[in-house]
Amino acid sequence: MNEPQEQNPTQLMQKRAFVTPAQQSAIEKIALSLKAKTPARFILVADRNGHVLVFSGDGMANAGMAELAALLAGDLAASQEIARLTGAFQQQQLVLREGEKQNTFLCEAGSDLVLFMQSDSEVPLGWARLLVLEAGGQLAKMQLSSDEQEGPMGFNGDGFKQNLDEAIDGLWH
Amino acid sequence: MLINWKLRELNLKIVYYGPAFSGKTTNLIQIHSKVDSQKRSELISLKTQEDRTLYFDFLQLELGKINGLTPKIHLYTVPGQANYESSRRLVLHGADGVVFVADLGEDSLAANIKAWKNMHGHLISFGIVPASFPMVVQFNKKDLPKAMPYERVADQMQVNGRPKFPAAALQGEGVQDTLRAIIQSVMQNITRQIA
Repeated sequence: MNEPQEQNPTQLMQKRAFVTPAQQSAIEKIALSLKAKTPARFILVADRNGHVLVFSGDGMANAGMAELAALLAGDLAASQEIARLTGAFQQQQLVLREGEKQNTFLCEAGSDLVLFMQSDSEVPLGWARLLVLEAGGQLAKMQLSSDEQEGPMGFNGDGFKQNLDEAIDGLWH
Repeated sequence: MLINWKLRELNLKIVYYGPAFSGKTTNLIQIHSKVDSQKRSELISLKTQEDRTLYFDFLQLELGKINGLTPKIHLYTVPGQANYESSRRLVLHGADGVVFVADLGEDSLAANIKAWKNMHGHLISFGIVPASFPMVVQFNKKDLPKAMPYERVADQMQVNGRPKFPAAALQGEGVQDTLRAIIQSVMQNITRQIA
């Protein structure tokens, strides 16, 4: 098997993302504003790999946020792939599920983020869609950085490796 | 990988990859059953009517606070069946490390090699250099009466210097060691990159 032996740091760095405190605060503000304006029952913002950034709302008592975010990211990825295969791909795609009591919106928010919103069916569909796309556009402008910006995170701190090993062993019954 | 400075969270994605019926989902079922419920999510499985993985399985592990940092480990499996190539690629994208689950069953060598090469092809297409990417190999079903020696399978697959773990995942053997090794490997890689 032909496999390059030299590491190319640039290539590996492309897939990591940092959310700065200012970005996290801005994401929270956009999400909470969308929730209030719509009004929405539930909002969740995650990255494209399904890592949760913000959630707010009720009516999700049976759903863990980690599981939900993973499913949403998978849902959007599958929808985009379907669109690509059928020649219908477009930027900032929105997936709408219209229900009897609730409507759900799943929106691509740039290359990094996913926005999910659930609203009661009494909320006009066009209004909710407009607001979701607007919020998705705002989130899309927030490019997550691939460069470390806030200083070291403690990976080299005292005993990090030992503490990590203990934490892994501590997972098991 | 996603690092959230405000929340002091480190989010990692580890993907269990391998041929059909090699035991990828079994690994996650074992982890789910043996990890304290306070430290894991529910196990999500998107299955076909025949109980085969259709898209992915998902399980999140929380290691608690380590040096003021909260690592969250997201474990995924890919579907092993041949016709789910697009799904495999989608799930593999964004992975920080891979557990390749090979099958020691006597008729599985060709399927192991095909999946191994296929995975490398995807990684390269993502701009990842496989030789320096965190990856461990689990040789599952060592308890089968006619199991192939794992060393032979490793040679045929050209696993080379990757960490290797013979396992009987259905009995839970080798599951914990494999998971520990991939988490350590991913963390070492991150430490090299950004610490």
